[in-house]
Amino acid sequence: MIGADVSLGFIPLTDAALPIIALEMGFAAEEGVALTLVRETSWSTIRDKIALGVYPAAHMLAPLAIAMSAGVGPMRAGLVAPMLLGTNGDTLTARPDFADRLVEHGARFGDAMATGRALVKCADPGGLRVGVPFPHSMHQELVRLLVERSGGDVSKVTFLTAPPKVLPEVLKAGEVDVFMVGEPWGSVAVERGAGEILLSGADIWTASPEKVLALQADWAMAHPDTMDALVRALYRASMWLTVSGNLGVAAEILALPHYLDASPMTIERALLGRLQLRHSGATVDAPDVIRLSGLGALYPWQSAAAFIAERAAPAWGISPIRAQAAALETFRPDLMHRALGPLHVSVPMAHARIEGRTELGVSVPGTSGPVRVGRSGFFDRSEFHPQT
Amino acid sequence: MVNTLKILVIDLNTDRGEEIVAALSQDDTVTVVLRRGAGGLVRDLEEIAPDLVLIDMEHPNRDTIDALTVATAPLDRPVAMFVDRSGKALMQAAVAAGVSAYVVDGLRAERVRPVLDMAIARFHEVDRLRKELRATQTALSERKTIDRAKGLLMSARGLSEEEAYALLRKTAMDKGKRVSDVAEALISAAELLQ
Repeated sequence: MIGADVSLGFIPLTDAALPIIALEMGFAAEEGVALTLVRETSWSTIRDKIALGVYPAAHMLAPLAIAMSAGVGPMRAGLVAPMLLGTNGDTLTARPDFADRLVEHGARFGDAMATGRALVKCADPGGLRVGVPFPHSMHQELVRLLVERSGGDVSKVTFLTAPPKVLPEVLKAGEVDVFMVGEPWGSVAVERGAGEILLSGADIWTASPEKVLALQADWAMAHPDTMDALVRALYRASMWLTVSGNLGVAAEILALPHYLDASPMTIERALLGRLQLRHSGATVDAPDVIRLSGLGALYPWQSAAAFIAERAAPAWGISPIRAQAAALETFRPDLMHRALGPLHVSVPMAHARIEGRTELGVSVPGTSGPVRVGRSGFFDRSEFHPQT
Repeated sequence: MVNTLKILVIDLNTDRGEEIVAALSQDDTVTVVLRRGAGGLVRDLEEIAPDLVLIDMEHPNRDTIDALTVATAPLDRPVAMFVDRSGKALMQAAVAAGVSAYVVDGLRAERVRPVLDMAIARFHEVDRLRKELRATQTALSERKTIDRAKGLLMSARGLSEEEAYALLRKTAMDKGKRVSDVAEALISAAELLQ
């Protein structure tokens, strides 16, 4: 099969797994895609390079993709996301002394309401200082949700942006009280004794659309066959990750110096749905801390995009209507349907759902039988009804 | 009187940063400050209040700078990336070289262009030197590998140095491989057999 060249930019994070596995395990080649992965150190560089056409594809923060499509920020570019590259994947980590105070005030791993209230109580009068890797991110959105719905004042929270690898140092230097970051960097901070994990992002929202496969819309429309092949390759990588025996291999591959350059054991722990919360402490179950395997983790629900747009529109300084339109132009379940057609897998019939309605259960009607998609639940039991 | 242009250069590569500063300082309407930018970026941006920021795209703190300037809500001094229509080709050239520029809103393209052109040239030059150095280092290490393999063949099969090299070269040609690859394979095999 003749390979179509595709270059894809990525940031060293556990949820860059699908493109890395698609390349290393040969799924991309089998689908006829000659994939080149380009490692970057910053999200702004990914933003600039996809906008300027250096590469047509990237591992991207879901809110950043919607912001770019909405023309927010210095680099505007129409982007489409035919799939997510993973659901969840963030952890909230505190300085050990601050974590002790939070625990005294009721903070408990797995209980976002109790932990949120403790954060609100223990924050300095000047307000909570939170480190995040980028402003347009689920990291920032999840922290805002947590504080706001635990009775805190979000306008008092100060966000400081620093790259994942630098955040543990920023925490140690006392420049922030907590940070929210994608795995494995929360676990790395724990191993260095720099921080203790308070919550997984999934404790706040069980179905957070963390990263997307972002494609330049013009490129995607001009190369539909290549886009479809790429989506299939990434889907097959995610199916490979459903085999638990493959997770150790995946961690070894991700750990390589030219990918994450981190310890394979640290990476593997979250892949197995476990976390070590504090230095030399025991590991605990965190089954949804990062979901990379199977269709349910990858389906780009338009309702999730609409939720991001509604929450972020004021900060972006644009009207909610424009933000919603950009969300729906970006998250494209129809493209995932088209790409996976030849594989005859069942894909959810609906493009949107009521986010937060957990009793809808883990399965939804699909194109050929029920599809396991996993629950969408917010920690405060609220619901988000997308406008249709 | 021409307004002074204040430029902040953020580069971990101090040599390159200093060269850029030296080149820019020849223009006396320009003041330049160089920072490695590991910490204190917020203070630097406030104190220096630059009209133009040049930053290495590989810099680990680029997102911090970006968030302080353009990614979030506008500051008192609106800063943009240099990507208006006339600037797109120049921005592409800058990104290809690995440098990005943030400019204060309203700064004229004629002022930015020469600065960015110069920075792009310096980045390319450093990149070229780095590649040359890497090529030299590779050549040197290949040379050592081949010498070791020759030594192994000379003692194991009683060959002269020329004969040993000729054998390596013939094997490489027969197998369609590079001489250094054959030498490396021979060394690995010899180590296994020890």
